[in-house]
Amino acid sequence: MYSKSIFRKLLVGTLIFVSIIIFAKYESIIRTTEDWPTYIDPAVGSDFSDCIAIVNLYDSLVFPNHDGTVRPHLATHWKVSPDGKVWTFYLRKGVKFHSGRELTAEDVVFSTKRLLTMGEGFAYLFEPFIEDVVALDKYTVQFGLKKPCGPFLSMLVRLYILDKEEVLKHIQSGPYGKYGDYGRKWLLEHDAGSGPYMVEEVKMEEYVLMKKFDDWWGGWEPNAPEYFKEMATADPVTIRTLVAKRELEITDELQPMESYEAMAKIPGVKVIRFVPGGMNLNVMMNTKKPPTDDVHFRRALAYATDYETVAKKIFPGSLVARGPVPQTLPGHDPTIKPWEFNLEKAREELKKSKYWGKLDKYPVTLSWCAEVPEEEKIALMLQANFAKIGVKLEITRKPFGSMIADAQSIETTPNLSLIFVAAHYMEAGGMLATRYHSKSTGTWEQCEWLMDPEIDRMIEDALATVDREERFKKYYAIQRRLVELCPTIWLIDRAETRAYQAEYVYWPVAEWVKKGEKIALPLGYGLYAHDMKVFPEKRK
Amino acid sequence: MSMWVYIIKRIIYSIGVLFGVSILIFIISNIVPGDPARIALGPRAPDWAVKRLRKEMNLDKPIVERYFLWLGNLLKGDLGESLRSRRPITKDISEYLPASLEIIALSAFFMATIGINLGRLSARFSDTWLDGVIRIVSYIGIVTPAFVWAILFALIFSYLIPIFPTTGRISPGITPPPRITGSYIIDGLLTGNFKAAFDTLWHIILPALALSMGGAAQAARMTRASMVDNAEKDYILAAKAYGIPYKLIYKKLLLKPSLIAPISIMALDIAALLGNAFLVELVFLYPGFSRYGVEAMLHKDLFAIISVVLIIGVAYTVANVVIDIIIAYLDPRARMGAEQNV
Repeated sequence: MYSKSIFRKLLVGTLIFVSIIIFAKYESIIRTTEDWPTYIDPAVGSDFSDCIAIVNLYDSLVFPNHDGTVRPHLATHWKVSPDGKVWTFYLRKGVKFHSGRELTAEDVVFSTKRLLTMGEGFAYLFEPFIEDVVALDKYTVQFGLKKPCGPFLSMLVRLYILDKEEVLKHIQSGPYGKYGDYGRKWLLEHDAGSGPYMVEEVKMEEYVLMKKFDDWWGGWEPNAPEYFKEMATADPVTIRTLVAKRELEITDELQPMESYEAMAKIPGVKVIRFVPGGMNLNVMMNTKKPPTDDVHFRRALAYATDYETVAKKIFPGSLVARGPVPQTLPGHDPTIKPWEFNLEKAREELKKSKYWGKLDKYPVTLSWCAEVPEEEKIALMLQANFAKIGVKLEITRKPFGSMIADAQSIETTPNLSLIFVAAHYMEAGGMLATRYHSKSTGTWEQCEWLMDPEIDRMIEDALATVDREERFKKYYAIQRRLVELCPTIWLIDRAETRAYQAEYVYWPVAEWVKKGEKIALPLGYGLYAHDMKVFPEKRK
Repeated sequence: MSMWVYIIKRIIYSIGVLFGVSILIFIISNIVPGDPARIALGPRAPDWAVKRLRKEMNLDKPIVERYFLWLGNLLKGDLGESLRSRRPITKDISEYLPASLEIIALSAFFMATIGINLGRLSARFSDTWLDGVIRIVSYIGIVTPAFVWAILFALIFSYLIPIFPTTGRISPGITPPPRITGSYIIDGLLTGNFKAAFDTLWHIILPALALSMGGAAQAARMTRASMVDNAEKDYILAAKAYGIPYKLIYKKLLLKPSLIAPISIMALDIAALLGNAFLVELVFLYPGFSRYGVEAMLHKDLFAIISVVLIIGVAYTVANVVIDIIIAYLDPRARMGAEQNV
């Protein structure tokens, strides 16, 4: 009897709650998911999740086009000195911050100094180059560089401008002298930007809710979303349920393939795959450790790799890599052909190597990243194929943190390291410098330990070339030279997969994919909500 | 009075245990490979920025000095700053802990009502078809992990029959109540924001139910076993022989002592939920303490890890003291034993 009454009470309670609760809905909203944490301070964040929020909240001097070029944004035009060391930018007048204040050159100077002083986020892009930055007048700002920097404009996409007065109003105690914490604590949950959206609410571990900034200088198209919400990603079942209930407009790219297949069957939902430019998967070969110190041995391994299986089965939709630079990244040499999977050629190269005849004495070590389970399949596939040419592969699963630690010395770096690398900015130069210049040895981005003076010189020369066409030719030469040296097995240029509500959402990225256009956008810009449209009346 | 002395003694012992736990967890989390400052700032941050953060966190000092600096701050109520959320850990915990406690409280309610009532039914109708059905249901409850229940409930009650929300703590558009305790339900009721209180309750029903399934099933089996066992004892037979009404025997003589074992286990299960609810919180995208703790561990968020482990330690300690009090209430022998021990 007692139990019956309890259950009856529960049932009645449930019905009461159903009748009481009214779920408020934001009709004109785009919701997306991404890995948490999301740092919305542009001097702190630099990961995918951070970038999605930051590009919507803040403006930069120039803005990326989806073909990898840039166009004027806060800066209407600019000029560069003949030696490539002085860049002058002329700012758009009448741009308002979310506070209502006008954006001026002083704000650009403040934002640059703040980024460089804090040393976090995208500071690493600018630190090697920017010597000083000054406001010549209210609307003119000048950057003095330590050395010429050809791709400086591409980098400037990542310099976001903050409202100086708003930040200074909110500084708390901290390590930056008179600037205290430089507003870092406040900017964790608020914004000081001029971007098309402004922070409505930040719920740690849950979401960042952004509201349309009606006074945005660039204006608005009809049906632009009133709200943009970036939520923390969840279990695949939850994501699928949210999509099916029309409570999630664009999914993250982190879901398992079978989950995307299931979502593709939901009416009105489409799954798109595209190679956004800038991320490739590498088998980095330690060129200073036997037996991968021998170029013929390295080439043998490159020929003994089944690229098609990786691109089609393990990371579907990806492109087989054509050299060290992803194909959608401006500056990629289109004449470079992919390596072929050819065990005969692999054996021929192996015979030319100094380790031929004593392969059993030189087992090859490989580490793969524990956070990317699919990499195990690649490791096992390599093991099987290498065995066919007589090379023994010893596989170790390692957390990424341990791989970073291993990369700090030649001795601890394994023969092979399976690692994804993303471009720092939309030009080949950035990737070539961080991947193959001697300065990046000892970091996870260069487990090859190439240390080739000629490559160093070529990279420095290319980066210092201001003329784009000339610079690109130099990038091509570096790529060809790298293919000869074969320090890496370049596996794939990784595709990004997302499901979205095609029935009631207009998403520019999906339109470009439909037209078969190349997409070379920096992290986050694919989810620039200002250019999206939402039609709530079509939501069923 | 002597019972209270016993409890106070237990609390003092517990503080000693917590002190030991703090030393242990501080040492373990500090010797695990990986530089927390480097992990926090990312692999591309310049070395000077990493060094500055190490200095800010006192990581440049010897471990013993670090421990006492941390302990000093702890006594002042400062748990340090989280490397992941970049906020004071006290602020993080003040948000996530009440959120988890709401789920745990509801889960405890489900565990007790479902578990004990099923156990009672099973004992009352022992060795009948009903007992068999409850046995099978209980076994399924015990062997199925909470996150599987969470996924099942989300699919059934949120997708197929969409009566419960899928994610979050409160619906968008509903303003959370002003903070008093940190619990939206309690604060909502205290401030008259009933909409927020009911909406929060609505959000936590599925996660709480998922978390309670294992404990409830276990409690059902234990209650049944204890009741069937006690029903055969001499004092029950004697009571029956004296003609004491069955309801009184059942309630006063049979049920009360039979609850000692299930309540002891349930209390520990409930305390464990604070750290074990991670996957359920992830399924429902719920901003809870358990998820915070696991994320802290994955990101080597040093001070957050230590704080989370300490709070879980406190939860276990409190659970043990509460168990002692409940058992003392239910079982006079325990009370008398405590008095003799004092």
